[in-house]
Amino acid sequence: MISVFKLGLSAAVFIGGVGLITALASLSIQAPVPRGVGPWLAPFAISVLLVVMSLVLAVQAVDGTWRCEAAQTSKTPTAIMPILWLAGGVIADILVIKPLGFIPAAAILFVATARAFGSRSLLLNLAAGIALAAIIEFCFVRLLGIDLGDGLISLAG
Amino acid sequence: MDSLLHLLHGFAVAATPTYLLWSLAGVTLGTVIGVLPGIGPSVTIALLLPLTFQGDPIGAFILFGGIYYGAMYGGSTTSILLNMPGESTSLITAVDGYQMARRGRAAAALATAAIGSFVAGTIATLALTIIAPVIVGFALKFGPAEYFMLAVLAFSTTTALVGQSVVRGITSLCFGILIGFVGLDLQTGQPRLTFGVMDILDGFSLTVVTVGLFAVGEVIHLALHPEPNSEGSIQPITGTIGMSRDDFRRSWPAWLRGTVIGFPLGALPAGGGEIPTVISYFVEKLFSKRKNEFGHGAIEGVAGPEAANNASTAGVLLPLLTLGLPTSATAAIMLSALQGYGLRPGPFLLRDQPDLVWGFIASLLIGNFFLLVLNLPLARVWARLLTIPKPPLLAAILVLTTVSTYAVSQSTFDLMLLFVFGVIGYFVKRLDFPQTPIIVGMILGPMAEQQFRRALAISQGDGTVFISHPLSASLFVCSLLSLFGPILWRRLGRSPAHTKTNSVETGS
Repeated sequence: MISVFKLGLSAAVFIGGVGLITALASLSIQAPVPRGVGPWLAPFAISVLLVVMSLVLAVQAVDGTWRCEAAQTSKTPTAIMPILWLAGGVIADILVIKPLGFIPAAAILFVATARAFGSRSLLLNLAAGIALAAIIEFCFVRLLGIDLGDGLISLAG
Repeated sequence: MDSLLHLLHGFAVAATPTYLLWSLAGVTLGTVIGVLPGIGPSVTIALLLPLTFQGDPIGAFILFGGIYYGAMYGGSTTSILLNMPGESTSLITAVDGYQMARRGRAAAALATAAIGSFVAGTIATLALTIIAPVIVGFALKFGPAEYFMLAVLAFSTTTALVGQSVVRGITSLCFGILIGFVGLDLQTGQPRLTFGVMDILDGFSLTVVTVGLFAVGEVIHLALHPEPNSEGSIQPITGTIGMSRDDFRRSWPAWLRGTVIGFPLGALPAGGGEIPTVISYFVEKLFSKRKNEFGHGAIEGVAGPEAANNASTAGVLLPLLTLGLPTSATAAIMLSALQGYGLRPGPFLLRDQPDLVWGFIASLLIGNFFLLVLNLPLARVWARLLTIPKPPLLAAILVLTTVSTYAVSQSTFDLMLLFVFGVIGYFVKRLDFPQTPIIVGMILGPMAEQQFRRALAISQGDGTVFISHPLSASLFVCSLLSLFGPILWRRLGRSPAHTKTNSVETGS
């Protein structure tokens, strides 16, 4: 009995799709080139190669020759909570960094990530996150002159 | 000899207090990240890139070189003490190194690794010094057709000789090349593959892609698939770290053999430092009179591979500095750094930027010395690093990735890209796509294309120019061999007995 490697098959389809899109996009690159090849050729050729590879990958996904980590059946189901915490932290970081500044955004990301990995000491992590972010902002902005943006709470300027 | 004079000049550049501090910082940072799993020299250098563009290129390169060499040392410490290699190049060291530690011989293992790395790194760097000008002289005859074929050779070796699957290697490579193509075409100014999105008109930032794929991807992977608590107890180090006479007698030939294996293999576009270490291990086993000790704590099994991986690190620098050809992901990132500073990589680099190149090479020798002095006494400290609890450590790494990305352009779009690439990186790991070809493709792809179009422009549209030039043709043949050779090799090796065992296996 051959079970189809579903993740692999979807990945192959995804890759093939990307290849098709980039191939089509390449064909619409125009440039007046008097002689020689234009800027469309290389992206097109690579896209075609990518589509061909995706077909081979699809075959491998179906006939079971695709050996990888995801293909091994594991007993422990993938935990969902970590993804939610990570995603939440990332989204919050992106939303908050411009209005509130680097330090609050980084602190939130720190706490959310630590929680994603199972650490439940919320206050401790919050303190650590704020401290880390403040140190980073101090070192990079003040000492090295790197721009980490403004915001409500910022050491810039 | 000319090279040695250049090198002395390099020492004059590198031995200034500021640059010595940079070197010390680099090797220390490198050792730390070598110890920590999940984060490696390529990601670290990519992380630091935007932060160093403000400063001076020589200092930055001395830092990067220190990180590169330091990571090799750090990886071996954890291999020996904890059976947890911090770097893929230290995988083999763990085999006999950990066994030595379990038998109370951790001190000797660490000593042979550190001294062997120093010896190999020094010899290999000196070899680099002497051979580099020779290669440069030779490379000045290269035209665009030859450069294109050189890039093709790099492509074919990094896809075909690394990892299990050529198909997945080529897929990674194509993906990387396409990422590299996004943005404005250099010759005509036409936007390519930008799909109307203004933010990527300049292309994808190398830092965002590398850090996203490797670091963020790794964090996501660890969150979803936590590693079982493999923290075996840290093996105690009894006594001062040093070797007995007997250990030394057994080690030094292994060091020399490792150097000879590591340096040329590192210089070849074969994608990394793992292959030389594996070959060194098997060579040591082959030549040893104590074969049955291997796997149970044979000191040669540590000495050889450790020497090999440091020598291969110097080997990788040879094509990078002389031809502008990266043969590993870290080298590709350093190449990108050169471009970022407005320096032109290639044979002219040696001539146009002697301070940078020779100062850099001299700093490697200095850094190597620092590493020897640091690592022997501080090994216990480095091992302690691994007792830092994972959640805050990984959270800190993730925050650092955002710093680097945000510092480039203060753009939340880049932050989003960082995490998108992180998700892609997660699947790349899960589905066993090799990572090196993505980076090499992204950096070399556009360069190769430029050379291709230039070659055709010079030959006025004549496509046979790639085969009519003898050098270009031979490089092309090498590429074909490296691509199809392993497959043919495997086919030839298949005997009836083989196919029987294979058909039993495919049940999984």
